[in-house]
Amino acid sequence: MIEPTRDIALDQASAGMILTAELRDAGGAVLLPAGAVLSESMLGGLARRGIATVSVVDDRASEHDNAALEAEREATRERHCARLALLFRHSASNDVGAQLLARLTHYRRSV
Amino acid sequence: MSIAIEDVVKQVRDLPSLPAVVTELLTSMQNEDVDLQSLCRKITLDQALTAKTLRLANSSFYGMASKVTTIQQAMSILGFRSIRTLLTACSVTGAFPAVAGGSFDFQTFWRHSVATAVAAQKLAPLLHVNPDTAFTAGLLHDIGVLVLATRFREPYDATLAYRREHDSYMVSAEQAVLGIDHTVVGSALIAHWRFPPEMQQAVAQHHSVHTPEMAALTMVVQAGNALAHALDLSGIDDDLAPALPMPVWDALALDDADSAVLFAAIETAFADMCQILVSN
Repeated sequence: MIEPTRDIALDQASAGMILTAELRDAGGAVLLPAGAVLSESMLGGLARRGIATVSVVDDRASEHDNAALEAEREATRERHCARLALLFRHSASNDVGAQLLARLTHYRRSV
Repeated sequence: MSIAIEDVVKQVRDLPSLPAVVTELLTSMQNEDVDLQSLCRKITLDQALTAKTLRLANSSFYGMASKVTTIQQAMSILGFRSIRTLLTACSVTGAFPAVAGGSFDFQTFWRHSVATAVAAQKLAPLLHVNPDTAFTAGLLHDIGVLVLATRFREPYDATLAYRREHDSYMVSAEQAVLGIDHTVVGSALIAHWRFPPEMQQAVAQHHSVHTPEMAALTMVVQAGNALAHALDLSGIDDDLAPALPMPVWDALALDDADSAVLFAAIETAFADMCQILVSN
């Protein structure tokens, strides 16, 4: 299926939007592939790497599907966080382990 | 059950040498002046290497519009450095064909090795390390596990059972059951294969406490290993994310925004590399 796409300025982009084209830095290295779901923290990182515009899926027509989609995403986030708790069962009490766990939890929750 | 280091060294000496073309590539690590045409010819002679090189060039990571069909084209797209990394990786994985029986899971082992390689490659610029060297060191960091699992099968099965029973890190289980661990065994093999000394340190010390003498490459591999576990890329049900030494974490200086881009980049590159290296 070909997704309808629109190009928007980076400051118009928000978490949850899906890239329809890969993003490359000035050196040509791929930062994010097509299909990546943007998160708040990725947007900050992209701004710092000089990305000005992004191509995203144009889903303005399907607002009513968004509630179901959001519920599904929340379930995925819960699953990921439970899995992280299991992986860090020995290292979460350690200072660095706790900080790494916090970064990963932020990453998984912001998708 | 304990294993003597002399037995390990003997087993390592009996392992096959790496293909000549790979030895040649390794000696060229510090040297950019390489005869590319002769290298292309040598790759073309090896069917498996040719297939893997073309698969990498055609992977989504490089996003080429038209299909890459020759080694010469692949070389111009991927560059000499990527090809060198890929060929080293293929040869190392080829030196340990999977054997049936026993409780060791080769697929999982290689998934974790590739995940660590990719994570180390992406972390490398943060500590001013060459990304290709980081990739190779990451791929090799647990190679001692393969020596133990294939050359000392019964003791290693007992080690795996101990790990499950005590829910411990693999390295602790090895020390408890075998009296030796995969970092010691791995660095013996890396020395035997004549990889550069910095790579030997990275393999030897990837579970060690931090010292001021620790090379940046070793820190990158420690962090790559931790991220490979923490991002759940190995596919192990009861996997454990290890803690990192504080100086390594401080040196990386990752904030939430940097981490998010880094984690996403690692997950994408991992999916691509798995298709190339793990599947046949």
